[in-house]
Amino acid sequence: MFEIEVSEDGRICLRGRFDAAQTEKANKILDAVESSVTVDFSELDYISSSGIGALFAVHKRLLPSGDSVKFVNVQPMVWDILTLANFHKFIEMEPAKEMD
Amino acid sequence: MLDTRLQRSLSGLEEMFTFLEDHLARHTVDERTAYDVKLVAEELFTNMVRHNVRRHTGSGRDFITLGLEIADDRIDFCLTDYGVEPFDDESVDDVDFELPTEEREPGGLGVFLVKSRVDQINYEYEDGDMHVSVKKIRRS
Repeated sequence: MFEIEVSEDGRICLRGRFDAAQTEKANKILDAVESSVTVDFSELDYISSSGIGALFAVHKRLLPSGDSVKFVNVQPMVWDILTLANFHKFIEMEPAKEMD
Repeated sequence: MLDTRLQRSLSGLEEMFTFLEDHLARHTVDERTAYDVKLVAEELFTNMVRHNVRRHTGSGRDFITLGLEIADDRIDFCLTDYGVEPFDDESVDDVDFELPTEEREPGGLGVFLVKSRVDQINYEYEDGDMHVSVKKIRRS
């Protein structure tokens, strides 16, 4: 199961498993992002290259205007995949509290 | 080896995850090893669906077979795509992480993740069928 929603404070919240079959659903929200945004990973258990690609597209689109994407509450195993993909080098990322 | 037939489309991913999660849990495979098995299986399956070119249609084999064997120290699994042109994921160029963001294009990351998270991978092509087998050592 995968869920994506925009919270009252404008954060994008991801939940469950962000696999290749979920990119169309995710892009309905991600494609509408036009300025700096925080993505909350606190309930995301899994991400693959397809999910990473969808998030990278947002980062790339915002870059020319000086806006940015920030990832917060990233769970340990998802953190490992994002850092393996070198996301930590160009996107601000904060681990989930239990990783501190 | 246990095996299952997966719908040859991204919709087949749900069946794949259900099959893997069920058997990985039964064998109390640790979370990190389980994540890697699911990730590698997804990347390989998705590449087959998206990039393998069908040689013919109407063969009645419009599915991908996933095989799985879980031992105390290792997990072996394989994916077979039938009636396709030869394709080797290892021929895909690695992602160039040194490129500036604006020059980077999608693609290649999945293959990079696969190479990073398996202990052994083998591609075989025979009589129109593409067979990929993977070995993953369980964390102690």
